[in-house]
Amino acid sequence: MNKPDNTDYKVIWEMFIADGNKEALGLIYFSHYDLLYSFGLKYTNDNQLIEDAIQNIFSYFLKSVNHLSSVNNFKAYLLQSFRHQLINDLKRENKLKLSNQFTGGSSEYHEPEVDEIYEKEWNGRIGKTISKCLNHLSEKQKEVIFLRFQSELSYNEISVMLDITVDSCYKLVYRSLKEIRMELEQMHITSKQMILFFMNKF
Amino acid sequence: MDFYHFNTYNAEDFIMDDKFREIVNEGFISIEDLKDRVPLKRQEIKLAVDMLNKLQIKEFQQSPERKLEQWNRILKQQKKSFRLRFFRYAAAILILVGGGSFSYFHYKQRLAIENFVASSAINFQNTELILANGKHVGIDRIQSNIKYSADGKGVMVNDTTEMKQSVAEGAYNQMIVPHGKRSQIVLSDGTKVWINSGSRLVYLPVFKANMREVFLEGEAYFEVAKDAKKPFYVRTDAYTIKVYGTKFDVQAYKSDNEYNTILMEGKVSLEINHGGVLSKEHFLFPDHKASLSEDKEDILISEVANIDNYTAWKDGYLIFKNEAFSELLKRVSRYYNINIEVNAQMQIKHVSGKLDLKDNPERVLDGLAIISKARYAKHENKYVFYE
Repeated sequence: MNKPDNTDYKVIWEMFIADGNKEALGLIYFSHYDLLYSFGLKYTNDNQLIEDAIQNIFSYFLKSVNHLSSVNNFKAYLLQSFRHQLINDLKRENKLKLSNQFTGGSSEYHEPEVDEIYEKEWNGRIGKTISKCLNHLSEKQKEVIFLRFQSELSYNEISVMLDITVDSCYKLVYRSLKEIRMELEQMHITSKQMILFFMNKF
Repeated sequence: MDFYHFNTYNAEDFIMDDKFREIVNEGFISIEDLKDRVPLKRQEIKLAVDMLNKLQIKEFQQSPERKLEQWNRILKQQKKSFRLRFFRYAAAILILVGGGSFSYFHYKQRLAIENFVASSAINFQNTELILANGKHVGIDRIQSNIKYSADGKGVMVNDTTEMKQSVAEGAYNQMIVPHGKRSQIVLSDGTKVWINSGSRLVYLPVFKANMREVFLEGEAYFEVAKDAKKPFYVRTDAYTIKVYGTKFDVQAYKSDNEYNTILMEGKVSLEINHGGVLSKEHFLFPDHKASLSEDKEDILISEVANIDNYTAWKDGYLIFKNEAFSELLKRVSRYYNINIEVNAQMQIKHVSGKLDLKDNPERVLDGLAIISKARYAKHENKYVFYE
């Protein structure tokens, strides 16, 4: 897939913080926009809030360029800053449920809008079923799956961001995958039984 | 590579495994290969691939216009004194991101090979290999094969004749295959390309240090050698295909405005050449086909049922299952560059079968007449089928 290479963006980030080079920040903005937006969808369905949070962190970067420093993993840093911003915005708007520390609690797995026809074809069959299973995961599981497979962060980086141990981070990912797999198998068996049922009937 | 530990895996274990994800994402061995090596886990591997593809696909893509609009707003929030400078920057960023995900660097690269293609006139009379020094090597065979040495200097033709050339920077080679002929070529990086009739492939005998690229006019089937450090690009005059290690067929027929990419294995993405800021990367998964929309503005993706039909030509035949007769005739007429006409009744007819691509087109038409239970006659420079 089209993964922005982490090392390159670390260098571009350094170009930006060296003298506030806006071209450099622009490159970062355009190449990470979709990733941040998708991450935002894990916390809320309010598109305006997500757009605002993206705008706010980049405005902050521009304003505070003198106070910013170099980071080891740029992508993890960016996701972390965005998450922080979004959760604060959600809190301010009272849209973050107090019972759920991490999320607005309403995040659905979003069907990709990559291409309508593509969506119909591939997602149509197995894809749709897998998204259904993804939606049955807990908010925390969705978050960790996103960070691992779409953002490609290491377990170490995820554990720092979510403030959990590396070990429980690993287990969380594993358990989520296992749940999806078992649910898919269950569905498969059910659909087979359905077919048998109909065949017997007619 | 040792796959022994895979024998105890469930789908989730495969997805957790770095090596497995590498196989899926980089394609250095095929999934079918893997299934054959771990036969007990065929089902689990298929499930794991489906799940992983779903988990990794971009969930959301904002329109480029909206992104730009927001970016401008971010810049506007800055002090007014920055205004003037910002417009300069905004213009620069437009150029930088203008090539969509493939970046400005590749835009410049693309121009180099496109300029070469545009400036070198060729005719499709004979199978010909054109070397860096401009020398034309005629190849008198229906089905030829060419193999480059790793340094690009040695070229073996039909396993018998060895040619030498010096490789200067930017000196392209070309393979020209006229109608009714086919050719197989092994490039200096080990990538195999089967070139279909009426096609042309342009490439450097030895690729640049940072990337590999070829230009295709017509149809070719690719098996790209894996090299994570040097991405492989197939350029056509409508779009560019970025290859992530894989097998696929490309049809780029300018005259019919027909551009299709059919993926057998691995992963590729496509980006329209002149999309500017609006261009985006379209990902293609196995058993799917990407076509250029009629207005040439968009790429449409659909599933294909009989994937083997798209590659059978490289082994010298066409297979078709319940295919519209008119569609089949189009393929035959393109292969031999002959005009074939059918009456309206025949057009809606569907046919199934296997067709040998013989040297003499009339022998192929005889075969077509038999399967379609029709007859044909030659009128001036065209063949007409009737019931």
